[in-house]
Amino acid sequence: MTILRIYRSEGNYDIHHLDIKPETKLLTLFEQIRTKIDSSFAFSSECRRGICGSCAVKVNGIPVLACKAEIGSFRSGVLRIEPLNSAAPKIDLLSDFEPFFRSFSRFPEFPPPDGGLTRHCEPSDALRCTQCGICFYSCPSVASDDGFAGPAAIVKAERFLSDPADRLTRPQLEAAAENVYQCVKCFRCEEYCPRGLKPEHSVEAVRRRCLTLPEDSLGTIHTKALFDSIFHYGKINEVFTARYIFGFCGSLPLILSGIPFLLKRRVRIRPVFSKNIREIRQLLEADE
Amino acid sequence: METVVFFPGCMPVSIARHQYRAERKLLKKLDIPFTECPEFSCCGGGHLQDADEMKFFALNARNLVYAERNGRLLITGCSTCYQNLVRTAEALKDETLRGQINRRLNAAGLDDYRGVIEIRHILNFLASSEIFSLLENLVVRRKKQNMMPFYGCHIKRPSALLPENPDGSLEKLLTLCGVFVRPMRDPYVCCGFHGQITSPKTSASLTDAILSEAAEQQCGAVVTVCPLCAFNIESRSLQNGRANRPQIIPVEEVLLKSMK
Repeated sequence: MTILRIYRSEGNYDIHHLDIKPETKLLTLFEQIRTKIDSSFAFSSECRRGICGSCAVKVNGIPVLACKAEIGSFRSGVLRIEPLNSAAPKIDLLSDFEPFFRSFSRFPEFPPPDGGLTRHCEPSDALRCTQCGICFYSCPSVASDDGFAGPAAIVKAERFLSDPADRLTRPQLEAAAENVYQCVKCFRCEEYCPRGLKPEHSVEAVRRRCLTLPEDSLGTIHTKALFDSIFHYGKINEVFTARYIFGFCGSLPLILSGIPFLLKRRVRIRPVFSKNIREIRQLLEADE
Repeated sequence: METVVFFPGCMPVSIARHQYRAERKLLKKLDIPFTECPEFSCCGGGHLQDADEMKFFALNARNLVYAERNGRLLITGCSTCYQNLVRTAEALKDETLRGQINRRLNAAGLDDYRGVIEIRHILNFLASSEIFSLLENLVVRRKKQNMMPFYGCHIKRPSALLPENPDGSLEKLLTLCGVFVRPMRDPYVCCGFHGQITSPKTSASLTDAILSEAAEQQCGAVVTVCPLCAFNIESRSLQNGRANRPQIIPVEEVLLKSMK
């Protein structure tokens, strides 16, 4: 017996006790509920094959495509089913996708190809993104509402970055540099992407491109600080990186905040160097 | 038992030495022969790949070369190190890439990376049946305290990459120590460490959510499996002031304190 607790827009949950075969798809179940139990039950679906991305919902907090998820794949016998954007649901299992679609416009439109270039573009994973919104609505940086464009938009930006026909102008990259460092690298997007895309790799690729900008942002300075620390010590040295990023005076509050840890005998004051540091420096300098 | 290569990570040797000490003492108590290479470097801290992916692979391949010299199993107590080392080992299964990286290693006077070292997180290692049975004989003192187990992200995600599923391991070890486990709603939530500098608002809201859940659950302690999570949560709770401040304890220390 599986117990389904399905979110309804009135703010309550419908509870269904059903005998379901473990291989039954969640979407099939929704359709059965709508035809046999409650014709007012709202959800969205289109292709039924995991391609269009329109049936994403959350099951016990984990985002899935209803057409691909089998009932037996969840460990619990109680399934709490909610819309993808559970923070601002619309009707029953329908989500408000407006913020998600808006996220793509965070980066200024890319200019049309200027004709002179021959297109030799590597096939990009980004082309397989179906814009289902799963990564966007499971991203903590999006949820904290600090203007982060979200994983899907960054995957799209990377696709444009790697296309020689799309000349990337400085304002566009600068817009990305403001934004892409908001990622906290929690890997939720990568974990839940039903297409198996790796948005974290796109974040890294865009960040690498940001390093080519003539002006530094906090994000690029942070990356350079860690790189230099590893070059210098072989390790991340907290005092070195804090000074690198915030300057001598600016880093004092951060460094002083380590005093409680020092008093608890957790801090080694003398910096730690890796042995054979020359090898590390050579590897970090090497370019092929 | 074969010698285990212990990869501590940067933070335990610099500003989380209580974890470093606990890990070493624990391995000694368990009578597991281990070696730690002074040559080990940083794993890139999750950010070196933002500068240059090939250098990231080369640096971690160097760590793995030193590990391969000294044993067949590497264990680390840092989830970010674990994720980055596994990512390197997986990427270097590609022969072309391994050839390129090996050329860089050779140019720096290092041996080839052979791809024979196994990489495990210390939590999964301790909770594995072989080591757990050793722990069962050693843990005597029962800690009667409410504790909230917190896994963080890099020990589990991306699960398509990481070889081990840590589900339930922390609870298993804590229950052994007699701790009253107060489970979190989502123990794999991100602590926000990697956004501390560049995304402070998100980072703070993530860390505060963990702290307020600990307070809600009336937990005197949050148990961690990654020094980055531990440091981040503890610094945030110090910033937030005195009220309801939980202890942040690495699991290795909980185990050690429950032993004779």
